[in-house]
Amino acid sequence: MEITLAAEPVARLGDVVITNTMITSAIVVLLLLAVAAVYRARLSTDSPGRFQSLIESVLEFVLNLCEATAGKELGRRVFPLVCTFFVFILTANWFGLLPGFSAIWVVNFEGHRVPLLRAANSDLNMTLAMALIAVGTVQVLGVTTRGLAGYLKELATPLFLAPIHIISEISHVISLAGRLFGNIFGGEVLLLVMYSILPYVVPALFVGLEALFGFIQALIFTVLSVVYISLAAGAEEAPSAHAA
Amino acid sequence: MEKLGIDLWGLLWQAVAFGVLVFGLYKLLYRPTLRMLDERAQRIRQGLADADRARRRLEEAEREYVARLEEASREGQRKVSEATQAAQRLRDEILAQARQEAAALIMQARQQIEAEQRQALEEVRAHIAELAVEAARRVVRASLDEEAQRRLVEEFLADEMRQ
Amino acid sequence: MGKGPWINGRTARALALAAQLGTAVAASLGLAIGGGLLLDRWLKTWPVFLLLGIAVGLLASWYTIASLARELPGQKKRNKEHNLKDE
Repeated sequence: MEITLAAEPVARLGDVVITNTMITSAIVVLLLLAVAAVYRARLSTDSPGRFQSLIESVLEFVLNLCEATAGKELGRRVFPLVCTFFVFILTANWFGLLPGFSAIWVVNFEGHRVPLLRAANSDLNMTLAMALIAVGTVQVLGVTTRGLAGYLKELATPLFLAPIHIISEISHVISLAGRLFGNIFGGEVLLLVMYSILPYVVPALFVGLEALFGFIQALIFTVLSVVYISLAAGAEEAPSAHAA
Repeated sequence: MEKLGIDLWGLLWQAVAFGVLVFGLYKLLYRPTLRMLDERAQRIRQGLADADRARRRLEEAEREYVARLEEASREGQRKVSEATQAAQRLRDEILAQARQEAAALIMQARQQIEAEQRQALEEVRAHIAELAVEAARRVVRASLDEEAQRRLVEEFLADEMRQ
Repeated sequence: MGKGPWINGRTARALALAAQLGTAVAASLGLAIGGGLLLDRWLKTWPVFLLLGIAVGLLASWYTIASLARELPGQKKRNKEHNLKDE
């Protein structure tokens, strides 16, 4: 059994390689869109069913988080992005814990035996892409609220601290991406090892633990992105900042 | 970078997948849900406002009812007192009239009595005069002697006394 | 989930910021030192930029800690007063 940090390539279309995490993230995206479509079709203002109530409570939780941290107006504006972080990361993490998820093996174009699916967040490309989107949004908001001149001025005040500001911003990307990746990848490895040593009994316990970690990591990523966004926009601190 | 598994194509794929998800969920999930939550909040506010308005209207109606009741009661009292006063006035009028009439009657009776008295007196006087004339005539007729005169006067007086 | 009693916005914030502290510090330090090493290799000036990188990295991690700790619940008031004094 070989464990690599990089996602394993599964197929090749011309020049480009499709890895197992790409397949997983695509499946998760389609799954979420399908669920959302069903939700949309059944949406009812007056008589929400259990399914609608569950989704509503998740959205309200994130919405409260956004509004409490970034203020009512900005919070609502960034809610779609922030909520997607939460929903996607959580779903991807839990999806990877489903029994049989990593049990499908295929032989790829290089002749290696590789798992067809791999937890989406155990690929740095995935977590880095999201971290870049989050921190990129932060920079865009910084520019739009302060103007380009104001944004650059703040970045270089005082001038000798400019590299430190820049390093700090980049470190946000790295720590956001790295922690999520590290946790999920570590969990994957742990479960893989556990499955090979002690099948069925002990892993169930670890799956539960990983489910909790998966939730916490999704929450951390979401909260941090909101905090960074509210900092960047210099959001007026809502009076109920800690009451959400 | 290669060891970590980071490559531009992978980044791009995942970023696009995530972007598609943001867009799709915005259309299918966030926008309808936010709209619905707002609508629901609006409806709750509306319901509260409606209830408040209904409550106020009820209170107003109650106040109006009480006011009307009071007014009716006042009106009734006013009417009763009016009627009482009218009756009082009528009674006074009737009494006054009766007194007047009684007084008039008494006056009339008195006048009549006086008139009758006067008439009676007149008659008596006339009678006395007549008698005096008669007596005088008898005196003249019997003026032959004093004896006869005295007898005559005594006769006359005795006649008068008998009457 | 939702506003369940076992997790709320305050807890989530504290948890996230605490989790971020360590990794952000490590990332800042690593970035600066790594950048220094690369510059040294490129300019053949070892250990000038490495030492500079360590210094910058320490500064950057201190800055990162400060900026994150300011966001921790309970720090708000003091921070605001501090800002007022600064102005």
